[in-house]
Amino acid sequence: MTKKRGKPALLVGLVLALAAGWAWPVHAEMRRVVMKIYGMDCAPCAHSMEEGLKKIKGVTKVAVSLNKGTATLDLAAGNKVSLEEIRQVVLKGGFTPEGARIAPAPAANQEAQAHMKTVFIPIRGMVCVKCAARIEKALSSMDGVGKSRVSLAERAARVEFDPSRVSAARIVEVINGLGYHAGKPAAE
Amino acid sequence: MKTTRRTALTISALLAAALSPARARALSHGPAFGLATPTLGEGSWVDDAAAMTITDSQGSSAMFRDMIGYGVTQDLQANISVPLSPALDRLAAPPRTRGSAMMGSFGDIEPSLMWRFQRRAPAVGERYESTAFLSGSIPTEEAREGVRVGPGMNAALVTGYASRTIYWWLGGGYQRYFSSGGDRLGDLPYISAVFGWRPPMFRGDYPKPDWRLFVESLGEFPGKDRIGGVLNPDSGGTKFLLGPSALGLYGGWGVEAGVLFPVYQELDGRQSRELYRTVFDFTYWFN
Repeated sequence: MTKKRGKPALLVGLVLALAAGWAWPVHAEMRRVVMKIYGMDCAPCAHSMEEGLKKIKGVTKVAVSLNKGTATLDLAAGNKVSLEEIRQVVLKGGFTPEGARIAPAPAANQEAQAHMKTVFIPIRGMVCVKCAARIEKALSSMDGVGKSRVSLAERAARVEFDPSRVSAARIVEVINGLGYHAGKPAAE
Repeated sequence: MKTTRRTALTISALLAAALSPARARALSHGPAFGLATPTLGEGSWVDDAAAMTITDSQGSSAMFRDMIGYGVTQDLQANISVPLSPALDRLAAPPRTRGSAMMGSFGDIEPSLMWRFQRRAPAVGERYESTAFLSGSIPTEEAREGVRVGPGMNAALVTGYASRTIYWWLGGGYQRYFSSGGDRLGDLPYISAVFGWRPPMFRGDYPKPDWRLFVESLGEFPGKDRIGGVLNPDSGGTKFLLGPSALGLYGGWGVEAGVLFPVYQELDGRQSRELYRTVFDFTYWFN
Protein backbone atom coordinates (compact mmCIF):
# COMPACT_ATOMS: atom_id res chain seq x y z
CA MET A 1 0.00 0.00 0.00
CA THR A 2 2.83 2.33 0.91
CA LYS A 3 4.62 1.41 -2.36
CA LYS A 4 1.51 2.22 -4.46
CA ARG A 5 1.25 5.69 -2.91
CA GLY A 6 4.97 6.28 -3.38
CA LYS A 7 4.95 6.21 -7.21
CA PRO A 8 2.42 9.04 -7.76
CA ALA A 9 4.22 11.07 -5.13
CA LEU A 10 7.50 10.58 -6.99
CA LEU A 11 5.87 11.65 -10.27
CA VAL A 12 4.38 14.74 -8.70
CA GLY A 13 7.76 15.56 -7.22
CA LEU A 14 9.44 15.19 -10.61
CA VAL A 15 6.87 17.42 -12.33
CA LEU A 16 7.29 20.06 -9.63
CA ALA A 17 11.05 19.84 -9.95
CA LEU A 18 10.83 20.36 -13.73
CA ALA A 19 8.43 23.26 -13.25
CA ALA A 20 10.84 24.84 -10.81
CA GLY A 21 13.45 24.75 -13.56
CA TRP A 22 16.18 22.85 -11.75
CA ALA A 23 15.90 19.53 -13.55
CA TRP A 24 18.00 19.19 -16.76
CA PRO A 25 19.67 22.23 -18.25
CA VAL A 26 17.89 23.14 -21.48
CA HIS A 27 20.97 24.81 -22.92
CA ALA A 28 24.53 24.05 -21.96
CA GLU A 29 27.14 26.72 -22.74
CA MET A 30 29.46 25.92 -25.61
CA ARG A 31 32.88 27.52 -25.94
CA ARG A 32 34.06 26.08 -29.25
CA VAL A 33 32.01 24.56 -32.07
CA VAL A 34 33.35 22.91 -35.22
CA MET A 35 30.52 22.86 -37.78
CA LYS A 36 30.84 20.55 -40.77
CA ILE A 37 29.55 22.31 -43.89
CA TYR A 38 28.91 20.77 -47.31
CA GLY A 39 28.76 22.73 -50.55
CA MET A 40 31.34 25.51 -50.04
CA ASP A 41 33.58 25.54 -53.09
CA CYS A 42 35.13 29.00 -53.35
CA ALA A 43 36.79 31.84 -51.46
CA PRO A 44 33.68 34.08 -51.51
CA CYS A 45 31.66 31.14 -50.10
CA ALA A 46 34.10 30.93 -47.17
CA HIS A 47 34.21 34.70 -46.84
CA SER A 48 30.41 35.04 -46.68
CA MET A 49 30.21 32.17 -44.17
CA GLU A 50 32.92 33.75 -42.02
CA GLU A 51 31.21 37.15 -42.05
CA GLY A 52 27.77 35.66 -41.41
CA LEU A 53 28.91 33.57 -38.44
CA LYS A 54 30.81 36.50 -36.93
CA LYS A 55 27.52 38.38 -36.67
CA ILE A 56 26.14 35.86 -34.14
CA LYS A 57 26.17 37.50 -30.71
CA GLY A 58 28.66 35.69 -28.49
CA VAL A 59 30.97 34.53 -31.29
CA THR A 60 34.51 35.85 -30.75
CA LYS A 61 36.38 34.18 -33.61
CA VAL A 62 35.54 32.25 -36.78
CA ALA A 63 37.93 30.18 -38.91
CA VAL A 64 36.60 28.61 -42.12
CA SER A 65 38.39 25.82 -43.97
CA LEU A 66 37.24 25.15 -47.53
CA ASN A 67 39.36 22.01 -47.87
CA LYS A 68 38.04 20.46 -44.66
CA GLY A 69 34.54 21.91 -45.09
CA THR A 70 34.44 23.27 -41.55
CA ALA A 71 33.75 26.47 -39.66
CA THR A 72 35.34 26.68 -36.21
CA LEU A 73 33.66 29.14 -33.86
CA ASP A 74 35.11 30.34 -30.55
CA LEU A 75 32.42 31.58 -28.21
CA ALA A 76 32.62 34.03 -25.34
CA ALA A 77 32.02 32.99 -21.74
CA GLY A 78 28.37 33.35 -20.84
CA ASN A 79 27.25 33.18 -24.48
CA LYS A 80 23.72 32.07 -25.36
CA VAL A 81 24.62 30.65 -28.78
CA SER A 82 22.82 27.45 -29.80
CA LEU A 83 23.74 24.94 -32.48
CA GLU A 84 20.42 25.69 -34.21
CA GLU A 85 21.37 29.37 -34.49
CA ILE A 86 24.65 28.40 -36.18
CA ARG A 87 22.84 25.93 -38.47
CA GLN A 88 20.41 28.65 -39.57
CA VAL A 89 23.26 30.98 -40.55
CA VAL A 90 24.84 28.20 -42.63
CA LEU A 91 21.50 27.43 -44.33
CA LYS A 92 20.83 31.09 -45.08
CA GLY A 93 24.27 31.28 -46.64
CA GLY A 94 23.10 28.65 -49.14
CA PHE A 95 25.14 25.76 -47.75
CA THR A 96 24.38 22.50 -45.98
CA PRO A 97 25.23 22.00 -42.28
CA GLU A 98 26.22 18.38 -41.82
CA GLY A 99 26.79 18.17 -38.09
CA ALA A 100 28.79 19.78 -35.33
CA ARG A 101 31.46 18.83 -32.87
CA ILE A 102 31.65 20.73 -29.61
CA ALA A 103 35.29 21.02 -28.64
CA PRO A 104 36.68 22.34 -25.36
CA ALA A 105 37.55 26.02 -25.48
CA PRO A 106 41.24 26.93 -25.46
CA ALA A 107 40.87 28.53 -22.03
CA ALA A 108 39.20 25.42 -20.66
CA ASN A 109 42.04 23.35 -22.11
CA GLN A 110 44.62 25.48 -20.34
CA GLU A 111 42.73 25.18 -17.08
CA ALA A 112 42.58 21.41 -17.44
CA GLN A 113 46.26 21.33 -18.37
CA ALA A 114 47.14 23.11 -15.11
CA HIS A 115 45.50 20.31 -13.13
CA MET A 116 47.28 17.49 -14.93
CA LYS A 117 49.90 15.38 -13.15
CA THR A 118 52.53 13.07 -14.61
CA VAL A 119 53.68 9.81 -13.03
CA PHE A 120 56.47 7.40 -13.86
CA ILE A 121 55.40 3.75 -13.54
CA PRO A 122 57.93 0.91 -13.87
CA ILE A 123 56.49 -2.10 -15.73
CA ARG A 124 57.74 -5.68 -15.76
CA GLY A 125 56.70 -8.31 -18.30
CA MET A 126 57.05 -6.34 -21.55
CA VAL A 127 59.02 -8.32 -24.18
CA CYS A 128 58.45 -6.45 -27.44
CA VAL A 129 57.26 -3.17 -28.92
CA LYS A 130 53.80 -4.66 -29.36
CA CYS A 131 53.50 -4.98 -25.58
CA ALA A 132 54.43 -1.32 -25.17
CA ALA A 133 51.94 -0.29 -27.86
CA ARG A 134 49.20 -2.38 -26.26
CA ILE A 135 49.68 -0.74 -22.85
CA GLU A 136 49.90 2.73 -24.42
CA LYS A 137 46.63 2.17 -26.32
CA ALA A 138 44.85 0.99 -23.16
CA LEU A 139 46.07 3.99 -21.18
CA SER A 140 45.14 6.46 -23.93
CA SER A 141 41.58 5.19 -23.96
CA MET A 142 41.13 5.83 -20.21
CA ASP A 143 38.95 8.75 -19.21
CA GLY A 144 41.09 11.40 -17.51
CA VAL A 145 44.36 10.29 -19.06
CA GLY A 146 46.15 12.82 -21.29
CA LYS A 147 49.43 11.93 -22.94
CA SER A 148 50.92 8.52 -22.21
CA ARG A 149 54.20 7.10 -23.45
CA VAL A 150 55.38 3.54 -22.80
CA SER A 151 59.08 2.79 -23.29
CA LEU A 152 60.28 -0.75 -23.84
CA ALA A 153 63.89 0.32 -23.28
CA GLU A 154 63.10 1.90 -19.92
CA ARG A 155 60.54 -0.79 -19.07
CA ALA A 156 58.30 2.01 -17.83
CA ALA A 157 55.40 4.30 -18.65
CA ARG A 158 55.07 8.06 -18.28
CA VAL A 159 51.40 8.93 -17.89
CA GLU A 160 49.79 12.36 -17.73
CA PHE A 161 46.42 12.31 -15.97
CA ASP A 162 43.80 14.46 -14.30
CA PRO A 163 43.64 13.39 -10.62
CA SER A 164 40.09 14.69 -10.33
CA ARG A 165 38.96 12.12 -12.90
CA VAL A 166 41.28 9.14 -12.47
CA SER A 167 43.78 7.97 -9.84
CA ALA A 168 47.31 6.64 -10.27
CA ALA A 169 46.14 3.45 -8.53
CA ARG A 170 43.50 2.95 -11.24
CA ILE A 171 46.17 3.32 -13.94
CA VAL A 172 48.26 0.65 -12.20
CA GLU A 173 45.22 -1.61 -12.09
CA VAL A 174 44.66 -1.25 -15.84
CA ILE A 175 48.30 -2.13 -16.60
CA ASN A 176 48.14 -5.14 -14.30
CA GLY A 177 44.85 -6.15 -15.89
CA LEU A 178 46.66 -6.51 -19.22
CA GLY A 179 48.96 -9.16 -17.69
CA TYR A 180 51.97 -6.99 -16.82
CA HIS A 181 53.35 -5.98 -13.45
CA ALA A 182 53.22 -2.29 -12.70
CA GLY A 183 55.43 -0.95 -9.91
CA LYS A 184 54.79 1.96 -7.54
CA PRO A 185 53.99 5.21 -9.42
CA ALA A 186 56.40 8.08 -8.80
CA ALA A 187 55.47 11.71 -9.39
CA GLU A 188 57.53 13.56 -12.01
CA MET B 1 17.44 64.93 -75.38
CA LYS B 2 18.76 61.49 -76.09
CA THR B 3 22.19 62.42 -74.75
CA THR B 4 20.65 63.92 -71.61
CA ARG B 5 18.68 60.74 -71.01
CA ARG B 6 21.78 58.60 -71.40
CA THR B 7 23.85 60.82 -69.12
CA ALA B 8 21.12 60.76 -66.46
CA LEU B 9 20.94 56.99 -66.76
CA THR B 10 24.67 56.59 -66.37
CA ILE B 11 24.81 58.91 -63.36
CA SER B 12 21.84 57.13 -61.74
CA ALA B 13 23.47 53.76 -62.20
CA LEU B 14 26.78 54.94 -60.79
CA LEU B 15 25.01 56.55 -57.83
CA ALA B 16 22.99 53.42 -57.21
CA ALA B 17 26.17 51.36 -57.20
CA ALA B 18 28.04 53.80 -54.99
CA LEU B 19 25.27 54.48 -52.49
CA SER B 20 23.87 50.99 -52.08
CA PRO B 21 24.40 49.99 -48.44
CA ALA B 22 26.30 46.94 -49.58
CA ARG B 23 26.88 45.67 -53.03
CA ALA B 24 26.63 42.41 -54.98
CA ARG B 25 28.18 38.98 -57.02
CA ALA B 26 28.07 39.64 -60.80
CA LEU B 27 29.03 36.94 -63.14
CA SER B 28 29.03 35.08 -59.89
CA HIS B 29 31.92 32.77 -59.17
CA GLY B 30 31.32 31.02 -62.45
CA PRO B 31 32.05 31.62 -66.10
CA ALA B 32 32.51 34.94 -67.91
CA PHE B 33 30.12 34.31 -70.82
CA GLY B 34 27.97 31.27 -70.04
CA LEU B 35 25.13 30.62 -67.64
CA ALA B 36 25.91 29.41 -64.10
CA THR B 37 23.90 28.35 -61.08
CA PRO B 38 25.23 29.99 -57.88
CA THR B 39 23.01 32.45 -56.04
CA LEU B 40 23.82 34.75 -53.14
CA GLY B 41 23.25 33.90 -49.51
CA GLU B 42 20.26 35.49 -47.82
CA GLY B 43 20.87 39.17 -47.13
CA SER B 44 24.11 39.32 -49.16
CA TRP B 45 24.86 41.82 -51.91
CA VAL B 46 27.16 41.75 -54.88
CA ASP B 47 28.37 44.39 -57.28
CA ASP B 48 29.66 43.26 -60.63
CA ALA B 49 31.22 45.68 -63.10
CA ALA B 50 32.05 44.31 -66.53
CA ALA B 51 33.65 45.61 -69.72
CA MET B 52 32.68 43.71 -72.86
CA THR B 53 33.81 44.07 -76.42
CA ILE B 54 32.73 42.53 -79.71
CA THR B 55 35.00 42.83 -82.71
CA ASP B 56 34.06 42.03 -86.30
CA SER B 57 35.56 42.81 -89.66
CA GLN B 58 34.12 46.38 -89.49
CA GLY B 59 35.43 47.40 -86.04
CA SER B 60 34.55 47.01 -82.36
CA SER B 61 31.66 47.60 -79.98
CA ALA B 62 32.37 48.15 -76.31
CA MET B 63 30.05 48.18 -73.34
CA PHE B 64 30.48 48.74 -69.63
CA ARG B 65 27.78 47.22 -67.48
CA ASP B 66 27.16 47.09 -63.78
CA MET B 67 25.02 44.52 -62.04
CA ILE B 68 23.84 44.72 -58.46
CA GLY B 69 22.43 41.57 -56.91
CA TYR B 70 20.73 40.85 -53.60
CA GLY B 71 20.06 37.50 -51.93
CA VAL B 72 16.35 37.61 -51.03
CA THR B 73 16.65 34.07 -49.67
CA GLN B 74 19.49 31.55 -50.01
CA ASP B 75 17.90 30.38 -53.27
CA LEU B 76 16.36 33.55 -54.69
CA GLN B 77 18.43 36.44 -56.00
CA ALA B 78 17.20 39.73 -57.42
CA ASN B 79 19.45 41.71 -59.77
CA ILE B 80 19.52 44.80 -61.84
CA SER B 81 22.01 45.13 -64.66
CA VAL B 82 22.53 48.49 -66.35
CA PRO B 83 24.67 49.68 -69.25
CA LEU B 84 27.06 52.38 -68.05
CA SER B 85 28.62 53.49 -71.31
CA PRO B 86 26.08 54.14 -74.04
CA ALA B 87 28.42 56.67 -75.64
CA LEU B 88 31.24 54.22 -76.34
CA ASP B 89 32.00 53.10 -79.90
CA ARG B 90 29.31 50.98 -81.43
CA LEU B 91 29.43 48.88 -84.54
CA ALA B 92 27.04 49.97 -87.25
CA ALA B 93 25.38 46.56 -87.09
CA PRO B 94 26.51 44.70 -83.98
CA PRO B 95 25.61 41.02 -83.77
CA ARG B 96 22.54 40.01 -81.80
CA THR B 97 23.90 38.71 -78.52
CA ARG B 98 23.55 39.16 -74.80
CA GLY B 99 27.31 39.71 -74.56
CA SER B 100 27.45 37.75 -71.34
CA ALA B 101 24.54 35.38 -70.82
CA MET B 102 23.90 36.57 -67.27
CA MET B 103 24.14 40.32 -67.73
CA GLY B 104 21.78 41.44 -70.47
CA SER B 105 22.12 42.74 -74.01
CA PHE B 106 23.99 45.80 -75.18
CA GLY B 107 21.93 48.90 -74.43
CA ASP B 108 19.32 47.22 -72.20
CA ILE B 109 18.54 47.75 -68.52
CA GLU B 110 17.75 44.30 -67.21
CA PRO B 111 16.07 43.56 -63.87
CA SER B 112 16.16 39.81 -63.21
CA LEU B 113 15.35 37.08 -60.75
CA MET B 114 17.42 33.92 -60.24
CA TRP B 115 15.76 31.00 -58.50
CA ARG B 116 17.96 28.08 -57.49
CA PHE B 117 15.21 25.47 -57.48
CA GLN B 118 17.37 22.41 -56.91
CA ARG B 119 20.53 21.88 -54.92
CA ARG B 120 22.33 18.94 -53.35
CA ALA B 121 25.61 18.98 -51.48
CA PRO B 122 26.83 15.37 -51.34
CA ALA B 123 30.27 16.09 -49.82
CA VAL B 124 32.72 18.72 -48.65
CA GLY B 125 33.10 21.41 -51.33
CA GLU B 126 30.66 19.76 -53.78
CA ARG B 127 27.32 21.02 -55.07
CA TYR B 128 24.89 19.94 -57.76
CA GLU B 129 22.35 22.64 -58.48
CA SER B 130 19.92 24.05 -61.02
CA THR B 131 18.77 27.62 -61.45
CA ALA B 132 16.07 29.39 -63.43
CA PHE B 133 16.39 32.98 -64.68
CA LEU B 134 13.64 35.38 -65.58
CA SER B 135 14.36 38.92 -66.67
CA GLY B 136 12.81 41.86 -68.39
CA SER B 137 14.67 44.32 -70.58
CA ILE B 138 14.15 48.03 -70.97
CA PRO B 139 15.99 49.55 -73.93
CA THR B 140 17.99 52.73 -73.40
CA GLU B 141 17.84 53.66 -77.09
CA GLU B 142 14.99 54.05 -79.53
CA ALA B 143 16.52 52.07 -82.39
CA ARG B 144 19.22 49.43 -82.74
CA GLU B 145 20.70 48.36 -86.07
CA GLY B 146 18.00 50.46 -87.74
CA VAL B 147 15.24 48.59 -85.92
CA ARG B 148 13.09 50.30 -83.29
CA VAL B 149 13.59 48.50 -80.00
CA GLY B 150 10.81 47.52 -77.64
CA PRO B 151 11.04 46.04 -74.16
CA GLY B 152 11.82 42.35 -73.90
CA MET B 153 11.78 39.22 -71.76
CA ASN B 154 14.44 36.62 -71.19
CA ALA B 155 14.12 33.20 -69.57
CA ALA B 156 16.87 30.64 -69.03
CA LEU B 157 17.60 27.37 -67.25
CA VAL B 158 20.99 26.08 -66.16
CA THR B 159 22.18 23.06 -64.25
CA GLY B 160 25.66 22.22 -63.07
CA TYR B 161 28.24 20.99 -60.61
CA ALA B 162 30.83 22.83 -58.51
CA SER B 163 33.63 21.36 -56.42
CA ARG B 164 37.12 22.24 -55.24
CA THR B 165 38.64 20.82 -58.43
CA ILE B 166 36.19 20.77 -61.36
CA TYR B 167 33.05 22.62 -62.45
CA TRP B 168 30.56 22.31 -65.24
CA TRP B 169 27.37 24.06 -66.24
CA LEU B 170 24.94 23.44 -69.08
CA GLY B 171 22.18 25.88 -69.88
CA GLY B 172 20.01 27.55 -72.41
CA GLY B 173 17.72 30.52 -72.70
CA TYR B 174 15.39 32.50 -74.90
CA GLN B 175 15.22 36.25 -75.28
CA ARG B 176 12.20 37.85 -76.91
CA TYR B 177 11.76 41.50 -77.81
CA PHE B 178 8.31 43.00 -78.19
CA SER B 179 7.50 45.16 -81.16
CA SER B 180 7.91 48.92 -81.18
CA GLY B 181 6.25 50.98 -83.90
CA GLY B 182 5.87 47.97 -86.20
CA ASP B 183 9.53 46.92 -85.79
CA ARG B 184 10.74 44.01 -83.74
CA LEU B 185 14.19 42.59 -83.02
CA GLY B 186 14.40 38.88 -83.75
CA ASP B 187 14.19 36.42 -80.89
CA LEU B 188 17.47 35.12 -79.50
CA PRO B 189 17.61 31.49 -78.39
CA TYR B 190 21.02 30.60 -76.91
CA ILE B 191 22.81 27.74 -75.21
CA SER B 192 25.98 27.59 -73.17
CA ALA B 193 28.32 24.90 -71.87
CA VAL B 194 31.19 25.51 -69.47
CA PHE B 195 33.88 23.27 -68.04
CA GLY B 196 36.13 24.55 -65.24
CA TRP B 197 39.24 23.30 -63.50
CA ARG B 198 41.27 24.51 -60.56
CA PRO B 199 45.01 23.76 -60.94
CA PRO B 200 46.54 21.91 -57.94
CA MET B 201 48.71 24.91 -57.03
CA PHE B 202 45.51 26.94 -56.42
CA ARG B 203 43.81 24.40 -54.18
CA GLY B 204 45.22 25.98 -51.01
CA ASP B 205 42.79 26.58 -48.18
CA TYR B 206 40.93 29.82 -47.48
CA PRO B 207 42.01 32.63 -47.19
CA LYS B 208 44.60 31.89 -49.90
CA PRO B 209 43.69 33.19 -53.38
CA ASP B 210 41.47 30.93 -55.38
CA TRP B 211 41.99 30.70 -59.17
CA ARG B 212 40.10 28.64 -61.71
CA LEU B 213 40.22 28.20 -65.47
CA PHE B 214 37.25 27.66 -67.75
CA VAL B 215 36.61 26.54 -71.29
CA GLU B 216 33.40 28.21 -72.38
CA SER B 217 31.19 27.64 -75.39
CA LEU B 218 28.19 29.58 -76.51
CA GLY B 219 25.64 28.93 -79.26
CA GLU B 220 23.40 31.77 -80.51
CA PHE B 221 20.53 31.40 -82.97
CA PRO B 222 19.08 34.90 -83.54
CA GLY B 223 15.88 35.13 -85.55
CA LYS B 224 15.20 37.69 -88.23
CA ASP B 225 14.35 41.28 -87.34
CA ARG B 226 11.14 42.86 -88.61
CA ILE B 227 11.15 46.41 -89.93
CA GLY B 228 7.68 47.83 -90.48
CA GLY B 229 6.36 44.28 -90.19
CA VAL B 230 8.67 43.01 -92.96
CA LEU B 231 11.43 40.47 -92.31
CA ASN B 232 14.93 41.86 -92.69
CA PRO B 233 16.89 39.40 -94.85
CA ASP B 234 20.21 40.71 -93.50
CA SER B 235 19.58 39.43 -90.00
CA GLY B 236 19.45 36.13 -88.17
CA GLY B 237 21.71 33.10 -88.37
CA THR B 238 23.64 30.63 -86.27
CA LYS B 239 26.86 31.12 -84.38
CA PHE B 240 28.97 28.90 -82.12
CA LEU B 241 31.80 30.38 -80.07
CA LEU B 242 34.51 28.78 -77.95
CA GLY B 243 37.23 30.18 -75.73
CA PRO B 244 39.01 30.31 -72.38
CA SER B 245 38.40 32.41 -69.30
CA ALA B 246 40.09 32.71 -65.91
CA LEU B 247 38.61 33.69 -62.57
CA GLY B 248 40.56 34.80 -59.51
CA LEU B 249 38.92 35.07 -56.09
CA TYR B 250 40.31 36.47 -52.87
CA GLY B 251 38.11 37.02 -49.85
CA GLY B 252 35.16 39.04 -51.09
CA TRP B 253 36.89 40.09 -54.33
CA GLY B 254 36.74 38.51 -57.75
CA VAL B 255 38.35 39.33 -61.09
CA GLU B 256 37.62 37.51 -64.33
CA ALA B 257 38.68 37.77 -67.97
CA GLY B 258 37.73 35.73 -71.00
CA VAL B 259 37.72 35.65 -74.77
CA LEU B 260 35.48 33.76 -77.21
CA PHE B 261 36.22 33.02 -80.86
CA PRO B 262 33.57 31.97 -83.37
CA VAL B 263 34.13 28.39 -84.52
CA TYR B 264 31.04 28.35 -86.75
CA GLN B 265 29.09 31.23 -88.28
CA GLU B 266 26.22 30.94 -90.70
CA LEU B 267 24.77 34.43 -91.06
CA ASP B 268 21.79 35.27 -93.25
CA GLY B 269 22.12 37.97 -95.91
CA ARG B 270 24.84 40.59 -95.62
CA GLN B 271 26.23 40.67 -92.10
CA SER B 272 29.74 41.21 -90.79
CA ARG B 273 31.51 38.13 -89.53
CA GLU B 274 32.47 38.30 -85.86
CA LEU B 275 36.17 37.89 -85.04
CA TYR B 276 36.14 37.63 -81.24
CA ARG B 277 34.48 38.95 -78.10
CA THR B 278 36.00 39.68 -74.68
CA VAL B 279 34.84 40.21 -71.11
CA PHE B 280 36.72 41.70 -68.20
CA ASP B 281 34.82 41.57 -64.96
CA PHE B 282 35.37 42.87 -61.45
CA THR B 283 33.22 41.72 -58.54
CA TYR B 284 32.81 42.48 -54.89
CA TRP B 285 30.63 40.53 -52.48
CA PHE B 286 29.11 42.33 -49.48
CA ASN B 287 28.00 40.22 -46.56
